[in-house]
Amino acid sequence: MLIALTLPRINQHMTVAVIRRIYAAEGELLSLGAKLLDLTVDLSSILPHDCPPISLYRMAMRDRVWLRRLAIAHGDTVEVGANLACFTTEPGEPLIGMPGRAARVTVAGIIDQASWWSGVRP
Amino acid sequence: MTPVPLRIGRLPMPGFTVRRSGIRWLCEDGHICRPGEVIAFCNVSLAPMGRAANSADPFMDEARDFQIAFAPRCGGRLRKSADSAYGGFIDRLPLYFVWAPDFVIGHLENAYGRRGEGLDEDLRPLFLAGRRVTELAEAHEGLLTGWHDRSRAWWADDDGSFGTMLSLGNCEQAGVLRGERNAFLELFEATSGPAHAVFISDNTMVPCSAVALEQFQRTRAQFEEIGADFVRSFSAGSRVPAPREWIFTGLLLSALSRSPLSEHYEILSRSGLQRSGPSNAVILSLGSEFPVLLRHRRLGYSVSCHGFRIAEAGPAVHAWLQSNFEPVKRTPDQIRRDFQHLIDAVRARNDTQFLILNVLSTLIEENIHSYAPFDTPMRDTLSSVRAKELNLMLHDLARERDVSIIDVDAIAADLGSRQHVPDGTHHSGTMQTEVRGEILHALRARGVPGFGAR
Repeated sequence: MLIALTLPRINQHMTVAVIRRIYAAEGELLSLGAKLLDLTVDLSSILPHDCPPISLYRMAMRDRVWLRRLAIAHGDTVEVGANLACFTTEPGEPLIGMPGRAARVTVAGIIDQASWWSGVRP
Repeated sequence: MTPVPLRIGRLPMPGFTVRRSGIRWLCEDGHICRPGEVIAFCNVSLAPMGRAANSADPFMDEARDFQIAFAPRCGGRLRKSADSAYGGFIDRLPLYFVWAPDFVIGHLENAYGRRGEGLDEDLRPLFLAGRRVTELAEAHEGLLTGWHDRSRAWWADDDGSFGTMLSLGNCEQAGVLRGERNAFLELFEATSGPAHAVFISDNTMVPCSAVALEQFQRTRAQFEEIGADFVRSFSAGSRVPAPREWIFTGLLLSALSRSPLSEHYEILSRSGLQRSGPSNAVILSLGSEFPVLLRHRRLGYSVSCHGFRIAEAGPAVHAWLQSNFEPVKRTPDQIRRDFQHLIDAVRARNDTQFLILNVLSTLIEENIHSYAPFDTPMRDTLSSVRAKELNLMLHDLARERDVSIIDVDAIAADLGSRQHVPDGTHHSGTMQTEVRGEILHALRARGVPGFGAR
């Protein structure tokens, strides 16, 4: 079965997210709990202001699936509802037709240990 | 019924001439005032008689942003005096009118009184003072407008000893204490006085427990060594700082030179000038305790800034931070020890009450069904787990050091965090009102003078 993952509206005010890290590669079997990707939601992109709430989230799998196609790359800015990845339940399934259902993922707020220091890099 | 005159009242300041600007109104003619509602303000200056001003004169570091707002003691329909306001610079610069206690800014028709307060008493004065980050930051547009590293306010109609509350926090405290009009109005409408509130900005340095403790204990010699190191680093660096980077580093150095917890304050009231401080109560936020702070490799001092401020600071600042500082992770236990040391150090000098705001422990957008995908210790990965551990740590600290917890987490849960803290950080007006109420309740429970209910 084809399984699709689109960018959910993690925060009611968000319009886009930026892909910060991708943990899985095309062709990989992802088990339950496998890390898929990290992304940031920057609400200051809606209305520039001081103290922008920039949140980092991680998506982890709640399905045992094969990652067949990634529609995103590190650094991409993705709109809510945009396609992120395509999975199948069997390794060799053709990627044809409509997805049978949406991928089940966990979304969790992650502490951005790197942001302090990444902002400091000369 | 005879209209009630709204007189500005006496302001005794022997040896000084008190001058004011024209009156700037915060409401329209015909407005129905509540008792205690701030309705107008003016800028004020103090000029020494027969000599030039000097740095020892009162309010010198707040002289350019020094205002008095007025609240009638009774309610009624406002009628403005024709000679109260002239517009333009006449109403902005505190030069053109010598303070006259009998000057009437307007009248109240159909006045009704608050129990125990006479209808014919002078207006209630609320002083507002801002210490500019730089004197270049001139902003006379309104009530307590400007770029201030410290802003404060106090009811000035009371005799007796003022109670001072110091807010060392981040943006959540700014909204709670300074309110919708950014001038402490809601806070002071709810207090009887003599109350004095001080807010320290987190523009550059975020006042976490470690930073506040270092500021409190730093000696003049240590600060001079830090200053000399700044000069060496930026003059010898390979990158020439851009103008905005000089501003950033200047503000950082200024924050390193100050200790809000040690500061004394001048207060002018109907009974004259007095000094207050250090503060009777200090408000801190767990939200200021970031997972990482920067520590200077050689001199050992800490810097805690919002990540977005550092990211925007510029390449010369980045190069300086990268080569001179190391990131230090802070566990809840380390943060607890920093709080303990801070509280013990302050209380060794003064009888000070501490109130600490906890943090939201849940993320509305999170849907974790299993913790297996996340590395341990999970507090280093999951912000909701770290928040829960911090809140638990705060309960231990409260028991050990007699601290009041302001339970922001519970208030958000009651009100609904999706609506009232939609990004997990910034509160709605309703949320700010509730948190302000909790702070006032804690101050009253701890007997902090001046903060009784009206």
